[in-house]
Amino acid sequence: MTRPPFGLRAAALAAIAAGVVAAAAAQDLAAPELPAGEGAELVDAICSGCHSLRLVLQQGMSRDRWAETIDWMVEEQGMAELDAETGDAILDYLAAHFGDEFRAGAPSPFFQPPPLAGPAAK
Amino acid sequence: MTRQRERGLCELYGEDPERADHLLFGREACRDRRGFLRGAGLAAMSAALGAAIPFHRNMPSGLIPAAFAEDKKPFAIQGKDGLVVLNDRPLNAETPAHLLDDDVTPTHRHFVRNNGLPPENTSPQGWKVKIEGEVNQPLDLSIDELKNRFEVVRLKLQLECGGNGRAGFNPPASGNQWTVGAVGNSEWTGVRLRDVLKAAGLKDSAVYTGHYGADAHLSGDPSKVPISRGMPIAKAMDPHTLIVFEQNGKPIHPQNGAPVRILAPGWPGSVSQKWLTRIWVRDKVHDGSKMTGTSYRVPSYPVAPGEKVPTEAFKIIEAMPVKSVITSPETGAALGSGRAVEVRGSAWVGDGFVRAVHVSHDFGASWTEAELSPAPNPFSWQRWRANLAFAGKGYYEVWARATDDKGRMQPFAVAWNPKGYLNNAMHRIALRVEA
Repeated sequence: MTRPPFGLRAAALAAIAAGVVAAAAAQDLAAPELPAGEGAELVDAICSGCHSLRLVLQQGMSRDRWAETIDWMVEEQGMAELDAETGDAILDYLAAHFGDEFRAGAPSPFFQPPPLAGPAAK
Repeated sequence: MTRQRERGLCELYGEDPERADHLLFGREACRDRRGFLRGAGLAAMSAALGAAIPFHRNMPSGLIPAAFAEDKKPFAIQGKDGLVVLNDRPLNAETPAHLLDDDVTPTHRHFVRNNGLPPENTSPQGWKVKIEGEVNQPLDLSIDELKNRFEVVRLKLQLECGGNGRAGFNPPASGNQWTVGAVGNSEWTGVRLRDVLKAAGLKDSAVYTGHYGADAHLSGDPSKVPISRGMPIAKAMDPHTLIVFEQNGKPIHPQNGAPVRILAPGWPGSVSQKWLTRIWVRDKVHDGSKMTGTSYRVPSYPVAPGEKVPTEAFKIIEAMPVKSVITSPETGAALGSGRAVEVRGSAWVGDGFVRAVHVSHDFGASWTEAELSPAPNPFSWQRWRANLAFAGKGYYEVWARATDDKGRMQPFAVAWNPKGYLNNAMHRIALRVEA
């Protein structure tokens, strides 16, 4: 099987054994773009080394949970450790733009969790 | 390359190329200013480029590889039709509910879930599956040997991702935000895992299986395994747990695990190792990649949305809970002149069978029992249909609720857990009656 041309995108395509064809009936995937903001370019460059940015675009987490997720990637998934300044910049951006607010788009928006009495669960 | 990424890379490299190299690839500059990639960094860059870099020692520190150009071809998964792609790397794509409207899910409509990068070569020629560990006689079997030595069976089998429905969680849970389409019910041809394990001869010490496949870790690190889960021996010995080599009578789709995979129906799809190369029979619970920590685990007690749960309080998911999906009409449909419609769907449960399906079109105030077909074989999903008549024009929701043979129904709301698993809340579609 011949390889498609080199390229970052091509690496993902090459891994799909049957090869990728620009088929008419398919979903057109726009290149993932992060919302503008301080740290966006940093997140774009650093967070797309292993996985697509589309994984980031799907998430909604508190700053603490983002930090835990990045720790997990460093400890278990081979990610290079970030220095403190870069780490903070990335966490600030992710918490600001991909935070854990209620999402209207979920399949059952009807069912909001009822408010809890007492200390916040988070 | 997107403008944003180009800006990001250029900015990083412009400010401090050595720092950029270090951040992106773990690449340290040698004293002679040439970049030296450390092991993982070299693997990462090689994986990103899709090739080894024989002259990496000569590559100047701070050079952005020229090959990092993102091409803008529209994205399609060859052999799949209509799937919604959640992520392209790793590739994860689900089937819209209205495209699951077949008794048997066609291969081109079966969802795709990847943890890593599929192998390039999925030809059955030369492919072997090892059975080793707590067995009297380790085996190393070709696919032909599997076909010739063991009885071949053909079963329609439910396969659902443990995270199907994760998009319904509030606060959101991390991971792929599947809605309702990470489920399929294709017809699979293979041999019983039980027969293979009996041929190997299980020792009394055998407790669990550990599965391995030919996929590669996203980081490119060859020492890392993208996923390796397993199951208790009892599930492995169930006569419906198979090693399969055909999907709907043809070679398995490369994205669904060709040429051979495990099919452990009714349990999270991650147990059904794709591109199967090895089953390690173990004397303890398997601890491979995504088997430990909180992966595919839920708290052992009910928790509040957003609650922090200690890792020790999680337990491994086994059988998937009762669930259903409405496959016709498509949500958002407008009924023309008539005020009646046939509603259809599928229902399943990971252990047992579905006893009843009810539908409502008044937000749960009243329910109609659907006509429910029996499963063609255990662990197949069951099809159901109901005729609904609407009193007048307006907006309606149709809800479907399945009940299993143990009397367990689908819940109204999501039982929240930190990783977003097992959302079996009722599926709802919207319809508009125009006149």
